[in-house]
Amino acid sequence: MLEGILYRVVSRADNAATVCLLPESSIYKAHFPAYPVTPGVTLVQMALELMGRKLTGARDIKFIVPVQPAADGPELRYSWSYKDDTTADVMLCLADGTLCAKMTLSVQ
Amino acid sequence: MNPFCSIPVCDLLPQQPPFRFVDVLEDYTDGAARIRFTPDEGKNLLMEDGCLSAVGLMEHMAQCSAVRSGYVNRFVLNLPVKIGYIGQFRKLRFTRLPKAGETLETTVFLREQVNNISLVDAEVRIGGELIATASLKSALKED
Amino acid sequence: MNIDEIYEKVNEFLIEDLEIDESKISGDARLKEDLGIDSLEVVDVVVLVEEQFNFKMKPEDFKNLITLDDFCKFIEAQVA
Repeated sequence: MLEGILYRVVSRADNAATVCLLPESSIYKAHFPAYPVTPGVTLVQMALELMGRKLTGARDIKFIVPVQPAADGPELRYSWSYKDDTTADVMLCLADGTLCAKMTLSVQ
Repeated sequence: MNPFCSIPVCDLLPQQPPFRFVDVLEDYTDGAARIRFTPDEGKNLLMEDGCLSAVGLMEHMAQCSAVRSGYVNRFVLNLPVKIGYIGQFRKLRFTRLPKAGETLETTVFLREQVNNISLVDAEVRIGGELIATASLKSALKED
Repeated sequence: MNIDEIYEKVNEFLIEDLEIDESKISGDARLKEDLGIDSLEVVDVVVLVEEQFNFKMKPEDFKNLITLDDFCKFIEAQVA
């Protein structure tokens, strides 16, 4: 679980959530020393935790812009929809609407 | 001793524990690298219920790609090792998740490289059994 | 290979591999702005061209290719 380690939840809705990154996280010291960047896979892990699902595969996950920690987090906005019971389309944006990642995940 | 194994893995990629998911480069031939990794609950994040999580498996594959390009940059092109970003994951499939203590042998093959973006195919095996595959693109940070 | 065959293969790639909405695809569609082919997709395009048309594109080749028509005509010139 990355909640509390990399991020905290700011708000939740049915198919959306806003989180705030924790810039002091030990993950940033490891990735990378002197140049902190949120690891792309943790953006996927956060989505899974917010949806309450486990990953069973992925058709396409695109990381569009790197997400670097900042004094204000920053806040990230997740939104998702289910194509069917086991396929989720997820979008991740910054507060200003910049699209950071787009995912089509197989989940259970 | 295999000459690749004697290269400290920190010379091949900038990630550090507890967010490092590779142990040793075992071989590099014709654009393909083979990497060994044993998930350890004491050393690695992204572990769940005594196994490397699916997301941890993805990170392992991405770091294998980083080791491959780190080796090429450092030992073939004599350039410094660079920070890399995952650009894309496609067709991630796995039959099971590795347990802590199991040894993964992962091969990453370079399929194409355009400017600073590499496309590799990754195959993860445990004891010779293929357990996961994916196609991924990584971009090296430009200075 | 004639230009129609080239369009067919390229369209198949755009729809099947890149999963681009068929309604967005037309000859004057701009590769980047309309079809979303950015630096990550360019790698897939290079793979497509090598596998389907047997030549290797260079990054510089993309500079003058703005629309889908430009791209297909470029391929036609290379395979002629």
